[in-house]
Amino acid sequence: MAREITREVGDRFLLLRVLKSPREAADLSIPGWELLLRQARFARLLPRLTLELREDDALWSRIPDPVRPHLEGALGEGARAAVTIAWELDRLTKTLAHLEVPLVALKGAAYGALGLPSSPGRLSADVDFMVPQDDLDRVRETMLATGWITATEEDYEAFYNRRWMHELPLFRHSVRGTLVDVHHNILPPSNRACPDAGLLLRDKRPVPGGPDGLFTLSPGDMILHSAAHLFFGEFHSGFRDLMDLDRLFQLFASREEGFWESIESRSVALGLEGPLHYAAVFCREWWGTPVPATVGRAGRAKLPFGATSLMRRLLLGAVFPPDPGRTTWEDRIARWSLFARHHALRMPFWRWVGNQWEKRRSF
Amino acid sequence: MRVGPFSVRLRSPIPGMAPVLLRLYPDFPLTDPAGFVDFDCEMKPRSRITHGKWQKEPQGMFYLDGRPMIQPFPLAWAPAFFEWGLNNSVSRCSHRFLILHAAVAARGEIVAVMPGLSGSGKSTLCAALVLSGWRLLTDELALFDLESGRIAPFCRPVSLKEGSLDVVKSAFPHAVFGNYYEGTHKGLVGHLRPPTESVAAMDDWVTPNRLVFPAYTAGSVPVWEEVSKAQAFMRAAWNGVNYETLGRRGFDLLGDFVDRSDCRVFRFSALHQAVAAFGEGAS
Repeated sequence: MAREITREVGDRFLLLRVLKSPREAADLSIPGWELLLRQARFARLLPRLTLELREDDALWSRIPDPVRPHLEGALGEGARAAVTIAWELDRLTKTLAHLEVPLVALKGAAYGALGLPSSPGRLSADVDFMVPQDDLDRVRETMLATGWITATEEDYEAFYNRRWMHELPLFRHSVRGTLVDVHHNILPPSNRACPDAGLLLRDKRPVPGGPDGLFTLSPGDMILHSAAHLFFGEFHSGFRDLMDLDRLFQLFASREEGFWESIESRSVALGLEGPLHYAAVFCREWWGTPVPATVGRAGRAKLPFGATSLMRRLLLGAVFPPDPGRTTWEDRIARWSLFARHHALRMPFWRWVGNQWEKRRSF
Repeated sequence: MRVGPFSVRLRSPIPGMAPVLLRLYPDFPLTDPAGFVDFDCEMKPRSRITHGKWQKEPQGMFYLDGRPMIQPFPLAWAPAFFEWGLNNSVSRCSHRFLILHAAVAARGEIVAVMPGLSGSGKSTLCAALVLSGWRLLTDELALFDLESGRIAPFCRPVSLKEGSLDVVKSAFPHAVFGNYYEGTHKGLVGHLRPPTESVAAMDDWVTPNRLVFPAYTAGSVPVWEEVSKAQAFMRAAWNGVNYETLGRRGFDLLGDFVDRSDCRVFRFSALHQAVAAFGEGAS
């Protein structure tokens, strides 16, 4: 029996529209709700969607019965994620306090620590933070000694990671099971656009009311990090990252004097003009974020002709698939292209060849 | 089709899925194709070249909403992995229930929840009870409704492994099984078709009143052992699938259940004896 083709089926922007204006969900058909939930689960935004829908009592009461349990259940997950972040940051600052090393919380951990509007309902796979590169070894030893375990490193992998990567191999807590990612930079050093970690650390801000030793990046740097993370190829959480960017842009622009000018010049100082340009363009286009035209100008000048259009097409396929449960060829090509680009940026080809050669020769 | 409280849609081009599903799920109601589907699952072959390597054996993947839910598996074992994939999907996305790794069987007034991890004998005992006339609510995931504390039947084919397959088949020669899969990560695996009456009763939610920890002990006569409420609570929570995610609500619900229920350990080996003793002892 053929299903009714409703207007929502095949609508890649359904989740986006509902998040921007929850009332759009009021008239959804059953297949429409299914698609909305599918898109939300794929984007890992189901708890966030639920929170938005709950703001409106009249809307909430009109949600069809079979749909509601999925939404309510997601709230528990969102709440749990928030508790996990808070607890892990607490435990980590206590464990590492004696080292007197600044812990700079990144992304979800930072949003949670600061209680930002992007944090309720946000699902993270792990807790990310950054420390100065010189302190990396001491941090690693302390964590291994206090119940954290890490994937065993074979000699070559250890050498490779220390030289080229910006983070230690993932830590998992032996009892709590949480995952922690320790960085010394926000991008791999092998990436040409890798910013100077010293600049990032110099501008770090303490968390108001938070434990001693816990910091976050400055507001502009948080945005640049999120943009760099997404636009250098980690598109699996692309939708969520774009939403974060929209919220962060608006929040910080309202809080900080001269924010737009300072983020533009900061992006140049860090070498992250390209990601800022993409962030500005796509937030404006898809979220309607009021980003002034001056933001991203340096990036636009730097990027090759057609780069933005290409990125738009790739993101549409990877981040806004019309139906996550039914991947089309276009989606697949988009995802594969972004994946290949991510790896090429992470490790230029000639260096990869060099690494393979060394690996066979010495290990 | 509807499986317990969920409607499930499975799309798959894999030949061999349909005959097995027909053998194991003939009594399950089909839902209206235009109706809401809780779990939209897809199982399809994986491309032969993955991560730049050629796969010797054809593999399959299980997807929920476009995301893989379990590791790739040999394509020939797809029907078995439907069970695991669906279990995983339900475990991760059904937080309106407190979910425990437990079998649940009922007869008359008794509704017994039997938590246990692999090797405890819970599936073997559950299969034996069900083949002796007990109602099957679930063999793997006990769904406790957060609002009412009642169990929503999640009646499915009972998955049995290695030794328990032999034991059950010799004790109950009339049992209907699907295919057998050798060499999985759990050894030899087979699925027992759930009784028609149990499937028909899948909308009948019940309040559980017994908490029994099965302990398969080779050579043992059936023995009931006492366990304190506190220990019973901890052991049950240990078998929780989404217990931590639910936080306080899960704690309260489990606490209420343990408080008002009879909690004991049940050691057994020979199945017919065990079933008889279980019926007597649980009353």
